Amino acid sequence: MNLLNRTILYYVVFSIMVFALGGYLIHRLASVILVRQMSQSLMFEEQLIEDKLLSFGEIPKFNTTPGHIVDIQYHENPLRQNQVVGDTVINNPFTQRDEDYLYLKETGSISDSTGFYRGYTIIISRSFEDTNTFLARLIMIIWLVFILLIIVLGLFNFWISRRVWKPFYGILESLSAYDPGNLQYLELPPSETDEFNTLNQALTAMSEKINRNFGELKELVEDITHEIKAPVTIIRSNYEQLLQSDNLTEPNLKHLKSINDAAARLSRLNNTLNLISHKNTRISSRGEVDLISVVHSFLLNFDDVIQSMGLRVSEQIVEKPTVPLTDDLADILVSNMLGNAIKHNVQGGSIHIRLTAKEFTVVNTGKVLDRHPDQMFRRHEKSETKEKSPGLGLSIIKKIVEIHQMKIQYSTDRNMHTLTLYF
Amino acid sequence: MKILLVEDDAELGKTLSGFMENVNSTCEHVQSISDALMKVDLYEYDIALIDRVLPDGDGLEVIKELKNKGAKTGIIIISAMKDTEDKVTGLNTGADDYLPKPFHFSELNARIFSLFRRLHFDGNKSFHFKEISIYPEKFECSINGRDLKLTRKEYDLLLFLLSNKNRVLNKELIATHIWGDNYDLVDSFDFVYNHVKNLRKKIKERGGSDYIKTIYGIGYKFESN
Repeated sequence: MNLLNRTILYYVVFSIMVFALGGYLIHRLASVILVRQMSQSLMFEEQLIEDKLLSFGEIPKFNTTPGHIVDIQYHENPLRQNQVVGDTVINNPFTQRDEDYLYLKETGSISDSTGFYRGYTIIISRSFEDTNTFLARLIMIIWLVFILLIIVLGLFNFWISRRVWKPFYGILESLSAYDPGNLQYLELPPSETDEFNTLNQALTAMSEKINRNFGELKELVEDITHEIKAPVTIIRSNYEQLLQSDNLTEPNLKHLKSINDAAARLSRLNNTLNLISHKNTRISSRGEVDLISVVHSFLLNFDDVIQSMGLRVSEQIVEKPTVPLTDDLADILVSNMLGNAIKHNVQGGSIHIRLTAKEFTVVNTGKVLDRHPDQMFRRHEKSETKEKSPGLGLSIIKKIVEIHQMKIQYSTDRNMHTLTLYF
Repeated sequence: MKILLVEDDAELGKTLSGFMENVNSTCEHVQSISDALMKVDLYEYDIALIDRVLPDGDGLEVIKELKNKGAKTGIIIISAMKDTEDKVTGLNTGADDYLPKPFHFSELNARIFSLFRRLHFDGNKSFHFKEISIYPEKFECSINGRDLKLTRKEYDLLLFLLSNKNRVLNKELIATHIWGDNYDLVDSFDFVYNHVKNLRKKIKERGGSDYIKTIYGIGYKFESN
């Protein structure tokens, strides 16, 4: 989830929580206030009735309406002055439903002309129905306002966040495009926010340091590969000279062979290092390559080895792939992938090639792997049994794949090895 | 024969190497000086065709490296630079020939064969060694005047062995020379043995002697005595 969405999500969740609590409180407060107002109006009404009662003695019965019932009862005996306010449930004769009522019950005594005291009870009940309807409407209006507020504030928040974080996304973009291997400089957009400018400065300084170190390292690798070349050439030409001399015994030849093998390995290693350091700087130009023809020409070219090792080669072309690579890189990729499948194969083994629009898979038989598959792409990881391989082939593949934003995956199941390139 | 083509134009390079492979050559195509230097360091070539204007410098660097190494490679410059001065510089650096672009493939082909003849067969059109005769332009060979039918690889093998008489050639060198540079990817060179065996058999059947000597663990040598 990105920064903006996360901010908005937190904002929405928090606002809903606050508004829910606020809504509840408003509801509670409004009910309390309304009940108090109702009871005050009941008291006022009762006071009017009581005043009349006290002035005129007995008064006629009121007409009562559902929702507002006034009941006056008279008693033989005088009653003590008392007032009770409470809730009750009364059946509405029209709707046949029980409704909540607030009632006020006042008892007291009046004296008639003879000076005889008798008691009375005034009960005024008023239905909550209207109040409840009012409250429900109020809550609805409040919620509507809340939702509108959440949306408007949310949009505003989103707009502000986007504006504030814009330089940050600019920095992110520049950072992800930054590759010290291409000897580019990190270009960061200037910002009006101090913190981002500080971040820019820190990152620029860091990238300059990385570039410098990388450049030095690259120079060192180039110097080393250049310096190693001369002694290797001397060894190889001396080997060639020695080889031509007559009367070499079998042990002599064995020594010579091992000298040459070692020198050849060193030379190949040196060139691979050179290749890797150059591939970094090489402009990652994108072409389109017909992978099928690259694979076929490789297989045709290697037919003699495939025959002599008795390998069965099968291929399955699901769809014609177009790979965003230049010819020479595609060639290096295919020859390393298929070359490995041949080199690490066994007599009478098999190679299966599968091509789809998005994948190139090579499955081959071979020896059981003596290490973890994840270590496969590390430089200098090589199997014990194959002295000659410099262990750099797969890391070259990885380098090319990385530069061109593709993916490569290796897996193994006992003696079957699968290498898949996703493009 | 084996050719190194240093040409930065991908299309032209592809066409040229396809053409060369059709006329019985192994052709390795690279597009930059750094790749060419790597090739020159690792492998041997009969002929190098070098363009001068390359993305990472002047093709003369490759010629200098070949000369430093003491390689016996014949060098032809193919370049759009037509000035006499440029040609002289190129030839003085060590090139054997200079072919200005644009050129006809047939002319390039003729020059390649002519250079190859000069380098290996004293300029003769056919080459004879005791009972064996080779006609490089026709890709034919004969023993005691009788036609010797060889496969393409066997023919390449015989030509390579003969043009390197009395020199021990290791199996890896033979493999990369005849089958291409990619062949150093493999570890087992048994297929070289099979082809040598077949070649020996065919020469013997035609009544030729066996001049190919096996050098234990290393490779082969064509012995002239």
